[in-house]
Amino acid sequence: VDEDRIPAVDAKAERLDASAFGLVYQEHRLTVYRYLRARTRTDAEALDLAADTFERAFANLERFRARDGGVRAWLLRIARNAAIDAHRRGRQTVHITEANAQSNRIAVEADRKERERVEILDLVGRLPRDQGDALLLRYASGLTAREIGIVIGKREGAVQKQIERGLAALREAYR
Amino acid sequence: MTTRDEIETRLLRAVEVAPSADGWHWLDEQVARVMARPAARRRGRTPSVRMLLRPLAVLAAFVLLTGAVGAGLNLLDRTVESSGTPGWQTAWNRAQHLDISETDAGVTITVERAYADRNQVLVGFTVAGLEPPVSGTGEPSALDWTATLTDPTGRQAERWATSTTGMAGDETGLSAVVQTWEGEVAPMAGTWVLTFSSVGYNGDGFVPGQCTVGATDPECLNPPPSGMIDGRWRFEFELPTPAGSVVPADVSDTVGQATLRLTELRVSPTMVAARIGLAVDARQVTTWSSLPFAIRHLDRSYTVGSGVTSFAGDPGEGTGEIVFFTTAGTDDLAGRWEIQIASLTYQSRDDEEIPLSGPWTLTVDVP
Repeated sequence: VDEDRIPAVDAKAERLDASAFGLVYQEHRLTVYRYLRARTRTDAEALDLAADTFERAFANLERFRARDGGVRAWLLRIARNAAIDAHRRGRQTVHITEANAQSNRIAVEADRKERERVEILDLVGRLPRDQGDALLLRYASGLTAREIGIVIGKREGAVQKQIERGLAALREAYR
Repeated sequence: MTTRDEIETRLLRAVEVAPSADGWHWLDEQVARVMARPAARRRGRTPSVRMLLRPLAVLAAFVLLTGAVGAGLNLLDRTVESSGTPGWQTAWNRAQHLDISETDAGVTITVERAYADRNQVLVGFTVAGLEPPVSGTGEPSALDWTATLTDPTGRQAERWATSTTGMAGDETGLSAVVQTWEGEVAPMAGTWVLTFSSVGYNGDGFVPGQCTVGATDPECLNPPPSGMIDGRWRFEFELPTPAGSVVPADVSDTVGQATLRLTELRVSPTMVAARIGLAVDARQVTTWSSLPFAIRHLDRSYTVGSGVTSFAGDPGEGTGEIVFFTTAGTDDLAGRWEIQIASLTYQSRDDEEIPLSGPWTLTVDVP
C-alpha cells in the first residue's frame, strides 16, 4: 500500500483528517482484519476486534503523527493492543453481537478444511510473542520491518532477526 | 525437508482470508456508526451499540472512576450496576459477604463477596497496593492477574467454565473486579478455593496509551518491563449448595434437512443455559450460528446473550453443540420452556456459509 495515495493523509501536517477517516478505513480494513483473524479463533472475534480497532483509531485521530510510522503501522499497533486486551480478559465466549440479522453470528471452532491453516497459525501462536507478531504483521498485513518495529516496539534490525528466528522455528516444527 | 519458501507459502495461504460480504457489511456499519457520533463523544471508549447489546463485554472494559470513591465495596457495587445484566445483579445481591483479605508482596487482595448457582460462579474482589501506570492518552490500564478457582469437588474452573470480567478503578489505584465463571457448576455445598499467583497492571510490559497509539515518545520503542507481581493470595470460602436445576432433554425439530436438538436445559436464578446441536442431512455440523433468540417460560422471555462451544473435557465436546446463555435467570423451573430459532447459518465442508430458515421450535415441559 502506498500511503501517499491516501487522500486522508496530509503529508505536510502529518495529521489525519476525521472527515476522510472513511478512506483510511477502506484502504486498511483488510490489512487490519487479516492480522486480527490470524490472532483469533473465529471470524466473529476478528471482526469484533477490527471494529474496536477502528473505533479506537477514530477516537485518537488527533494523536496520529505520520512521522511515527504511517497510517498502517499506527492502525496495526492499535489492532495489536485490542487483541492483547481481549486476550487479557481471557474470554472464550463468542457473543451474539447485534440485533441485525446480517451480523448475528456465533462462530465456533475452525472447520476441518481449515486444519492446515489452524495448524500453522497455532505454531505461530506458540512462538515468543514478538516473533509471532512479527510474522503475522509481515505476512498477514504486509508491513515492512521498520513498520513492524513501530508496532511491536523493536528496532528494524531486531525485527528482521525475530522474523528469521520465527521462520526457522516453523521450519523446524515441520521438519 | 521443508524449505523456507514452503513455510512462507503456508503462512501466506493461512493468512490470506477475508470475511464474508455480511462480515464486511457489519464492520462497515460499525465504523460508520462510530464516525457519525458527535465530536464531543469521540474521546475515550463510549459504549457502542454492539457493546450495549453485549452487556458482559461492557463489563470487560476497565472503568476509571474519578472523584472521591471511598471504599472498594462502592467500586464493586458500581461495577455490577454498570453491567446492566440482571443475572449479575441477582448474583451480587444473593452473594455471601466474605470480606477476607490477604497481603503479599505489598499487595492486598480482598474478596468481598462470592456466589454460585448451577450456571455460574461470581466473585467480587478488590486489589490495593499497586500503582497503575500513567496513561498518555487517557486510556486506562487494565488490571491483570493469574488465579485459579477450585470447586468443592476439586475441579478447576478452566475445565468447566468460560470467564467474564468486570473492572473498575479509582484514582488511588484501588481496583475492583467482578469475575464470573460460566459453566455447569457442581451441585455441592462446600469449600471453594481461589488462589492468586500474580497481579499487576502491565503484565506484558505494555502500558495502554503510553507506548501505543500514535506515541511520539522515543521511550515507546522500549516498552516497560512486566508489571506483574508474583505472590500467593489464597482464599477459602464456604458456599451453600448452588441453586438451580439441570434438566436433561432430548427434543428436536427438523425443518428441511436441518435438525436442531436440545439436549440440556440448566435453569438457575441468574441464568438459563440451553445446549443445542445442529445436524444437516443427518450429519453433525460443528460450525454454525443462529440469529438472536429468546427462551420463553410462562409469561417471561429470557434474552440469549452469548453462546459457547462445549468446554474441554465436556461430554459435548466436538459434537457441534453450543451452550447458549441468557442474561437473566429465574427461581421457577416448572412449566413449559420454549426455544424458537427463526433462522441460522452454518458452514459447509466447502467453507460456504449457508443460511437456513426455520423456525425450529424446541419445547420442554417440566413438572
